[in-house]
Amino acid sequence: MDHNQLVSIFEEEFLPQLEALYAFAYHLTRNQTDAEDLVQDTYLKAQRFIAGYEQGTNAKAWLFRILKNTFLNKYRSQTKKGTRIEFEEELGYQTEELAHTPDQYFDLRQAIFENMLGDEISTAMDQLPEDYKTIIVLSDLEDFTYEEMAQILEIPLGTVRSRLFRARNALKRLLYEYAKEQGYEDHRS
Amino acid sequence: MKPTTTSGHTTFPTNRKIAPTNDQQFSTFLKSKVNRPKPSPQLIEQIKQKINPITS
Repeated sequence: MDHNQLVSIFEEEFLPQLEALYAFAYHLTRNQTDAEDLVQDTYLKAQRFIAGYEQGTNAKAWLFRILKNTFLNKYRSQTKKGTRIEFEEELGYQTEELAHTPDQYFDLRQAIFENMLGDEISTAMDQLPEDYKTIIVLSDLEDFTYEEMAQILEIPLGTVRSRLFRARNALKRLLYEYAKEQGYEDHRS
Repeated sequence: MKPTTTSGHTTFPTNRKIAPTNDQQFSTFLKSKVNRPKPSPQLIEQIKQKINPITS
């Protein structure tokens, strides 16, 4: 890979992802300084391992994968307690979750959710296990496809689908409970 | 105007149909609520200056 090619990749493919990478880093660390360090480390690693990137392919997914691995290796032990979802835990979590979930889906268009503030949503997201929060950010805030998320997270496609389903349900339940605590009443029968 | 109880709490109309929440609706809801944190101009400049292969 010659110098011009490196410059082209960096300027045209990597730099435009900076904002998305920072947002992802911030959601993971919940701290501006750590998020900035994580993004810088991500770009340094991208530069170091750029031979593994094929120009014109999916730079965003490639960089997100580096960021996610960097976070797992360096930052996760320093921030929240380990909250990765292992298979058995995931099953247990789902069982407990479903046992307390009303029969009907929560309709997010209802007034109970409409008046919620962004900070309240973010707080609820922070209560999720880390893997659940991560997949919601990738899917619902960054619009990655199932296939891209499977590559970024290095998990099978089926696990992406099931984890995302459970993560959304867990978040909806947290939002629902929070809304009830705030005094909203649910009159669904 | 939202219907409220005497205590001032917002309520659901009891005859309102509850539609299933689909994936797109959930994503739209989150995007409308959660602000995307922006990188500082200093971080952008640091990335450009320290990591860009032109200057490194």
